[in-house]
Amino acid sequence: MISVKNLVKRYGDLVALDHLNLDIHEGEIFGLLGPNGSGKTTAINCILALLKYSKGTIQVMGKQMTPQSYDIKRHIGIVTQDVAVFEELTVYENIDYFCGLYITDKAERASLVEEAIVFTGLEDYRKFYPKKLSGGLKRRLNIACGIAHKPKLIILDEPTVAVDPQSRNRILEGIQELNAKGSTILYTSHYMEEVEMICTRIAIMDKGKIIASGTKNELKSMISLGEKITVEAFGLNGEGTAYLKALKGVLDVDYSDNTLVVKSQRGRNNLVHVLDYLKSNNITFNKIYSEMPTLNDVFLEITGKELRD
Amino acid sequence: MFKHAFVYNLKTILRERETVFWSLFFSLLMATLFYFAFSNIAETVKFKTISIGLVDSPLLSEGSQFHSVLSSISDADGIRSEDDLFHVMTGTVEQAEEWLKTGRISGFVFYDQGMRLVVSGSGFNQTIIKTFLDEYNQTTQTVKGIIQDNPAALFKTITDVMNRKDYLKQTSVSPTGGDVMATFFYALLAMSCLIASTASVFEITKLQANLSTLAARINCSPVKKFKLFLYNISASLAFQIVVVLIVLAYVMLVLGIDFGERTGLIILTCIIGTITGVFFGTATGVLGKSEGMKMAITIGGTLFSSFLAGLMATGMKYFVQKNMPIVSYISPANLITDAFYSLYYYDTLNRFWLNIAILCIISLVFCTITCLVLRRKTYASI
Repeated sequence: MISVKNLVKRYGDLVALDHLNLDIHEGEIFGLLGPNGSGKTTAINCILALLKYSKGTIQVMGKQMTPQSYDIKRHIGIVTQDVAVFEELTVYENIDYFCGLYITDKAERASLVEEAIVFTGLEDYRKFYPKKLSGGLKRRLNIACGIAHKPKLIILDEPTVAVDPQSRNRILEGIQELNAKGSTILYTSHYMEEVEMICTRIAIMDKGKIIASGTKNELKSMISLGEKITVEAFGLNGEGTAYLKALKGVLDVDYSDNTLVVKSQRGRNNLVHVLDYLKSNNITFNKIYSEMPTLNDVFLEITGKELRD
Repeated sequence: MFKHAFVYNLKTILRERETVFWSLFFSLLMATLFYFAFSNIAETVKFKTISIGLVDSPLLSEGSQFHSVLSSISDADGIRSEDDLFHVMTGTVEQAEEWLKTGRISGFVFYDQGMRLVVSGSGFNQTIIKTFLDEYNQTTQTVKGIIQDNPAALFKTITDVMNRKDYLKQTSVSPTGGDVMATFFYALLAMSCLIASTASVFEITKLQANLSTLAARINCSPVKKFKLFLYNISASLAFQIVVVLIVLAYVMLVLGIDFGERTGLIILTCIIGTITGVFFGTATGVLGKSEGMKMAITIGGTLFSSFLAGLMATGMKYFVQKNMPIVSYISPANLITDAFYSLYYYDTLNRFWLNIAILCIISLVFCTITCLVLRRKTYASI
């Protein structure tokens, strides 16, 4: 569906996209994950032929993407990072206006607009002006304007920024539903939980480069971390942390603010050993968590920094 | 597609309060203010029959020489006419003083060892009364002098003394009369046409992806940018033309300002002027980056051009025409006011069509700039 080869975009001396390569297949939800400023939006703007780029090729639906690729644009829906609607038009009018740029048949458009309103749960707000809507409802309107014409490819650029949890869940469910109906989705976010939840394949970006890509399990298997044990423990001393560090397969032990974190290599399960040590040394402990590595851990291990940095 | 985009753009324009205010209400407000401000000025120079008092006495009353002279230019003979210089109220000194005190008369004349005039202040009316009396006294003295010194010459010279020769002749070079106030309203209408540029800046912002997210989304649609530009600008133009015609109707029909009888060509001037204003705005919109700067250019440009055309002082238009003729040919407001002026004062339409042709050329230049810049499809940064 989208093929990006060696894409380079420079802003003066700053390299925003550094030989970026992407392959997004038809029917998938592809997540582009990266911290703010990693180049996600720049990549999207290049894919949409809005931005000039220094080098590389971009193909969408098998054809070179240019500003004049109207036959391709017809099948693309875009949901921008900032809400991009007319403040002077009502919810219904906004959706109808944007849908009308793709669909000229009035009857067909009326039905599509209605569908988009129901899909985004804006039935009660048809006659509302955007300024009267909450942040979450505005985001839903932003999505409705981008998907009303039933595009084959939907590009969503951080659609859940500054959205309440209820609206966020609704948006994420909606994206999965759109995908189930046949749309290919390119989803960018810096929220790893969202990407992990809905995306079939993920590319992690940093400083304009793809640093890792694959399914979430493939990404997690790229790093050595296999298990992270977190225990609320009281009175653990340096001797104790040294003992735990010496356990087989333990990568790192951290103890601060009565919270013990033990990271182990993949294939090793140290939960029992950790608890045995705490019990036998009469160290009081309360809450225990054993977690599989997250995408943040993947990002951390590859780049040495947190995803949200 | 055209209808779809046109209707929605028109809706957005009509619901933008700022646009409606600056385009319509600002002009109507200005027109009203001008009307009241300048109608007072006109009132002060407009001649009205002056009420004077005449104190009853043998030398002044009916049958006297003075009375017969006064009757020829007033209603002292009992016959009222629009051309009367004076409206005469005859009475006693006490009555005349009372009338003067209450403002019913501008002054009164009585005889006390000569013609005396009493006024309560100085002004236009008082000056006229005094001039009349001075002239009467002078003529009377001249005739008396001739009778005393050379009675034989009286019949020979009396005609010359009594006759006043007017060396000025009133002719009209225009199909209409003349209205001093109209010049201000020409400039005001020119400003109304050109202020359309501010709304056009917003229209362009809706189309350039580097200026707004909304424009970025619109640019992702499968509609050619040039078509979108035409759709948007048609709506803007339609709105602005209606606005200017409303202002024109208000000025002509409600305020009663005389623009002459060539209504069709007056409307044409408004339309061409508005087109110039709209494309001035689109050119500024595509060339500038900061919205503040663009608004400053359009509003500042409009007001400066209108100032040169005589919006704030009628003399400026003539000063520019005399000292900076090139400016008068490239300043859109000047061309618009000059077109109105030509329609009002000239029999022929040569000068009018020249103004319209230059306005069309200026519009074409602005439109070409807009299209050339808009042709750019991708941006270096967004």
